[in-house]
Formats: sequence, C-alpha cells, structure tokens
Amino acid sequence: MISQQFNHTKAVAQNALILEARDFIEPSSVEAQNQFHRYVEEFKDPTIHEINIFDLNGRIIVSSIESKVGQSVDSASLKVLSDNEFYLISSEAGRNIILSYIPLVFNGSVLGAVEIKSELVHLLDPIQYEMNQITLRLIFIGLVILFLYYVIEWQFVIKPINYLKKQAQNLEQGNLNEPISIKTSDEFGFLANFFDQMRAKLKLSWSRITEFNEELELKVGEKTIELRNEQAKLTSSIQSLRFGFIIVNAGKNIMMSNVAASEIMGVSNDKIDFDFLVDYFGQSFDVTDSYNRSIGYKQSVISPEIDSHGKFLKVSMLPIISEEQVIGSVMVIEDVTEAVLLQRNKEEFFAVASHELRTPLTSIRGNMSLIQDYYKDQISSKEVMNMIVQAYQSSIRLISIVNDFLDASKLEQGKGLGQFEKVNLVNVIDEIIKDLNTTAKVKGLELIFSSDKQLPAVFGDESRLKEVVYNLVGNAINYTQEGRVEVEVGVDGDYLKVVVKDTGVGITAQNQGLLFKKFQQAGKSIFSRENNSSTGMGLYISKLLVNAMHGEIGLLDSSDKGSTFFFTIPIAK
Amino acid sequence: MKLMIVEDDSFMIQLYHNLFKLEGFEVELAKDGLEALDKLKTAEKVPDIILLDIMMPRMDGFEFLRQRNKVDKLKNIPVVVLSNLFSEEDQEKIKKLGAKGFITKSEQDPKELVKKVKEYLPKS
Repeated sequence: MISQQFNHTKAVAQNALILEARDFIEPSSVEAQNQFHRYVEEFKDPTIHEINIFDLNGRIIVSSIESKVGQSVDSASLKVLSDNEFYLISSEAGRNIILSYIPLVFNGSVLGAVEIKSELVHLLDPIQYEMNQITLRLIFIGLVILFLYYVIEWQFVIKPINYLKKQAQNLEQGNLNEPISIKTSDEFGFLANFFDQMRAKLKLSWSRITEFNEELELKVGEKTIELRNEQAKLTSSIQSLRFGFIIVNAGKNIMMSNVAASEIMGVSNDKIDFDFLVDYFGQSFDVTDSYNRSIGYKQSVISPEIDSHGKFLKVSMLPIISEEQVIGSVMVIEDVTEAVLLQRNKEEFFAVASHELRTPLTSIRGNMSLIQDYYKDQISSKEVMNMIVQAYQSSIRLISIVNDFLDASKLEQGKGLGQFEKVNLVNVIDEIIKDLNTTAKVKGLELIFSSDKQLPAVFGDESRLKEVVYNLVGNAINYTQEGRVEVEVGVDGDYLKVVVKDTGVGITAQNQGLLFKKFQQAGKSIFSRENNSSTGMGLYISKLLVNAMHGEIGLLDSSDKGSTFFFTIPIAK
Repeated sequence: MKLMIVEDDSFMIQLYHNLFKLEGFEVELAKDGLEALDKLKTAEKVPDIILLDIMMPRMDGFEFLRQRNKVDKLKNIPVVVLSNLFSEEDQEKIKKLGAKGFITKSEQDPKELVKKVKEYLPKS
C-alpha cells in the first residue's frame, strides 16, 4: 500500500515537474517560481502537504512553501541524488507522513531531486497496521476455525443427533423397517448401532406380537364360533333330554327349563319358577333345603324315588361350579314311573312265581309222595304206580326248574349270595365226592379226587361253592357212560383251581359256545333234552356263582375222549 | 300229639292234614294268622307244635309270630315255619320272632317233613 502511494506521488512529481525540469534546475526566477506554483496548484492532491525541489547540494530551489526556498534538506535525503528513488515514513505532529524522493534526471545526468511530503492515508501507523493486519488475520482465522468447527460439529454431532432424533420419531410412529446406521467408530456410531439393534429387536418383537395377535384373533374367532355351536348343541341336547332339566341361578331365578320338565310336571314352561318347584314337590323333596345345600355347601342332593302326583320321580339338585364358585344349581327330574313299575312287576313276579307256582307243585309232589309212601298197597296196577312215580319225578324236576330260574334271576341282580368266609375247599369237594360216589358206582364209573396237601382256604360262600362242585362233578358223571371222573385241586397264583375231567362223549366245538348259557345243555334246548334229571341251568348258575365270588369257570378242553372243566376261587388273605 | 297247621292253600292244607293224621297227630287247621290266633286264644288245649306258612291274607306269618309272643300261653309253643320264600332277611326275621325252625315246603317229601317236625317237638 505504501509503495502504491509512493508510485502515485512519483507520477504526480513526474507529471508536474519533470517536463519543466530544465527550467526548475535553473536558478529560481520569479516566473519559474510562479509557474511551479501553478503546476503544484493544478496537480495538488489533498494528501500532498509539501513539494520541494532541491539541487545537488541539497539546497531547496523551488518549494510549494515559499519560505522553504534556500533552505537545505535533511542530509539523509541526499542519497536520492545517486539515482535511487526511495521513501521514508516518519511521524510529524502525530500524523504519519510519507516522504517520497525522486531524482530529477536530464539527459542521463542527475540534476537534483524532488521531495514530496504527503500524508500516509490508509495506514497511519505501520506497526499498528501490522498489528491490525495480525488482528484481522487472527479474526479471520478465528472465523475460519469457527466455521470449520461448525461444519465439523454439524457433520459429526448435530447431524447424527438429528438423524437419531428423526429415527427415534420414526420408531415412535411404528416405522421399524428403516435400518439405523451411522458409519463412524465414535460414540454416535456405537449409539446408532445400539439403536439399530434395538430397532431390529423391536421389529422382531413387533412382528411376533403382530403374528401372535393375528393368530389369537383367528383362534378367538374360531373359539367364538365353536362356543356358539357348543351352546346350540347344549341347548338342543338339554331340550331333547328325556328328563326334566332346570337351571336355577344364585338368585333363585330359573335360567332354563326344558320341555321334559314341563311335561313331567304337567305345566307350561312359563309357569315354572322357584316357588312353583317348592310347592310342586312339597314334602316329598325339599327344594329349598336342597338348593341351599347345593349353593351353600356345593353338595349334590339326590332323592330316592319319590311318589309325586301319581308318578315316581327321582330328583337331583347339583351345584354348578365355575372357577370354584357356585353360580347356580341344576335340578334334574327323572320320571322313573315305568322303571319302578317294571321293577315292581319283576319282584312281584318272583314273589308270585316263588309262592304261587311252587305251592301247587309242592302239593303235587307231596301227594304223589304220600301215595307212594302210605297207599302203595291200595294200587294194584303196576302201570298206574309207574305213572304216579313219573308224575312225582316230573314235579320234582319242575320245582328244580322254577328254583333254578328264580335263583338265576336273583344272582343276575347281584342278590342271593350269603356272607363270604374262609372255606376249606378240599373238605367241600370231599363231601360232594362222598355224596356222588354211589351214583358213580351205580354207573360203573371210577370217581377219583386228588389234591395237594395243605392247601390254603378260599374266600366265598360255602353252600354256593358246594353247588358249583356238585354241578360240575354231577354233570361229569351224567355225561360219562364208562371210564372215570377225576377231580383235582391245586394252587394257581392267587387262586385255587379245581379241574374236573371225564371220559365222556365230549362236546362239539359248535356246542362249546353254548355252554354256560341259560337253558342250554350242551347244545340241546330245554325242550329236547335227553337227560331228564337236569334243568339246563346248572352251568349258567355255576358261572354266575363263581363270577360273584371273583373266580372264573370254563371248559379247558373237550374231545370225543372226554371233557375237562375248571373253576377258580380266590385264596383267602 | 296236637299239631296246628296255619296255611291258606287248600291243597296244602289237605296234604298236611292227611299226612299228619296218617302219622297219628291230632290236627287243627287255620286259614291265616288271624284265624289261628283266635283259635289258639280260645282253645282249651293248645297244640304241641304249630306249622306256619308265611304268605297269607289278612295276617301273615310274621305278624302271627309277633302277636303270639304277646300271649303268655302261646309264646312257648314251638313254631316251625313252612314256606317257599326264604330270603336271608326273612330267615333272620323268623329267628328273631322266636320260631324254632324253618322248612322249605317244595324241597321236602312228606315223610321227611314229618321226620323234621318230630325233631322240633318238645322232648317230654
């Protein structure tokens, strides 16, 4: 800047002075002085304070300040005369002054020089200027640093934070698909990575939840339909029940009452309420008490058959328990009139059959026996006597059939057995063998009984066990024409096993299946039996008896060489 | 020996009547419990043994036994129950009511019946 100002003053000097240099070098004439002033005025720059022209001796010959003519310039200024233009900066009355020195050259010779004193316009104090320059640079550098800092901060802090903020908002809005990534290795990179992992986990969880939710909704839908179907099924099932079904809630309100209920009680459905039920059953079934017991104590109340309004009813009151809470009670009314009458008829029939059927038979038997025992002499005809004997035997057989029939019926109902006790089965068999020995001998059969020594006692009804043994051994003798009947008894696990083996005609495979059936006698029905001493009920009753005593009975083996029957009875503990 | 037969079936009455007469008994008949009770109460000579049916109209065998037990002059007469219906409970009941024994009618021939009845007769 200073050199620019110097060049400017130089130009001023050249323009103003050099053209007239020759004249200026000449000793100052008034005219020359005036002319110089005119030039100076003409070119005067407000910044130029003073222009002096001095000769080789340093004496000012022309000056813009008249008083300066004739004075000498500073000796330092003389170096311009060796053809070196230069400038100096100095201070004058607190102002910075630039002193420019330009040599005056004419025809290659230095004639003198021009001194121009002008104000240093732009930079008053070079040190201050330099200082200012440094300050400016510092400010600039500072600004640049600030700018760079901002850029860096924006790039590395604000941007990632904004990004993460945006992504967080994204996540909040449920957009979990966009991956979160900042590719740096600093905390933000780590944070973003962490964020992304969180997003991925969230996405996975969310998709699972969504999936589960959909599945759940589907299931709930299915279950709702299922439930409705079940309810419909249940309702129509309840309606179609043949017994009365009434649901009473915890507030004694009738929630449901089916068709059978109103039919059994003979009232229309809308008439059935709690008070009606109380009145209807009266003392035969205490509805209030039963209801209270089912509601209060979770008890089921089941009545015996009650005689109500000409019908036999069975009434039950059962608590409806949901989540361990009683929410109501179900009243079930069963019309058992038919069953009761049927049972009564059956029992009556047995009583009648037992008494009314056997009484006349006993009379026949008694009278036939009486004739044979007391009036034999009075009957001369052998044939008549024979008829009497046959009538007597038939009556006995008929009595046996009736007895067996009644016995079987009782056993079928689970009745007819006495108290079970420890029974010595060997003694029982021994007794029967002795009893039947005569019969066997008459037929020329060998009757053999063999048993292990010291057999344990069995548990059962002794008289009934006798019946079973009598039946099996009796049958064996009956159906064997020659040979022998062997009876064996031994331990078989927790049982004693009795085996009865004969050398009889055997039973065909076809007829084996008919054994142990009612009224069967090895395939021949009661109407076509060959042997007239049997009722055809023996094996059937034996099976009922053995089963009732928790044993088994059956045919082990049969051929034309004979049959083998067995039965088992549990050993007493 | 005097024997009373309490039985509602006329055929049976006849049979037993014949039988015990043939065996030398003095036989008195009653068609049911009530008639038997009346006859016994008014009888000058009570029987040595009573054969009693169970199922009878008006008053059955059980009730007869109960009533008999209330009458001093009757309660020591041995009673043998003749019936075709002997359930376990019935047998218990009969024993409790003080009957000497019971015989299933249809299972016995007359001669055997006489033999059994004689066993129940008081030893004199």
